[in-house]
Amino acid sequence: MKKLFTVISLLLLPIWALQAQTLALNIEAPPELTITVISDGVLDFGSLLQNQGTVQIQLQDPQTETISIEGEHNRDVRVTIYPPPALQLDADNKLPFTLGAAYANDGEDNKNQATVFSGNTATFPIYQDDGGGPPPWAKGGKKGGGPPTSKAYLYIYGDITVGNDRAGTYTGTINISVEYD
Amino acid sequence: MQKATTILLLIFTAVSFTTLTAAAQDQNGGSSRISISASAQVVESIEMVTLRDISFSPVQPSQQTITIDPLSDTNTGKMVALGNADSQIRVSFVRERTLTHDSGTNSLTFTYEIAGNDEDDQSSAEILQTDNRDLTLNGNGEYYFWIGGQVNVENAKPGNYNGDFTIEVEYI
Repeated sequence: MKKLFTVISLLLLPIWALQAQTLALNIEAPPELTITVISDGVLDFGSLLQNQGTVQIQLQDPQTETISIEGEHNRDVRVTIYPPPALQLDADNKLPFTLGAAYANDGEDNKNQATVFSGNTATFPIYQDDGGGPPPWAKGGKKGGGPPTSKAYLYIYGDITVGNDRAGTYTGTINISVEYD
Repeated sequence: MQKATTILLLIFTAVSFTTLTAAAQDQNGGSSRISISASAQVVESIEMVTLRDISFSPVQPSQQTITIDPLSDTNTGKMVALGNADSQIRVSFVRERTLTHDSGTNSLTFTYEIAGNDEDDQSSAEILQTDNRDLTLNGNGEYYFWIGGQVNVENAKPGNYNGDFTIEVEYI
């Protein structure tokens, strides 16, 4: 009878323990980072003449691409941008590309408040409290519970140099990685 | 029984450790990636080439006006725009320009009339207004212009008059 009781205990206790751990996971999970391109997704330099020289899309220009980053409001994120060295027509015809990037983390899509990247990487809090009023989540927590979230905004721009290059459409891909720091 | 309890505690600890490690990886590994594209359209510069200047016949004393018909006169000026094949272009020009006498004291007003064609054929060209947006370079990247017009010489002082003609062509 004593042996039988021991066997039953071995079968039941681990099951109870696993259920408790599942509950703990739900509590600890942070909100996922959500990245959304809220412009048209194409950094378009338009039609350019041969030998036009350096052509810029600046931070304040309407062609600048805007991306929102939504995540837990009090977390830092690290943004890394991988720009192409050049826009290409083909292997022999390239327009050198220089990336420009900035972020706004005061809760608003506002280029005037943006901080320019130094290089291709930046680490910043998703929401930077500047003391200018209630934070975006002050009117209520995230729907369905969980920690409150906020949005930061990323602006992508840059310049290209057009020399005596062949006519045609030059393209490139800009990859952006965002992770909690 | 003592031995069995010890084994159970070891199992519980092992399960707990594994689960917490997984949670930590979710937090630190919470990353996302996205891509956008960059694009630029490079077009050839438009080059304007003057093929011949406007030619005025000597003015007779009784002549009141000189008229050069851009659709038929062989004295027209002729130009060609060279650029990207099949590209749409916008053409604009100032219709009236001043011709100045060599002495600099007298002038005449020349009123231009321009005909254009994507073929090198004056007779089938169309008269252009001062601002045209629906023109297209041909398959060789060419568009031709014939420049004529008229000027009143009734009270003109004898001598030579010079002036220029400016036409602006750009891609749309």
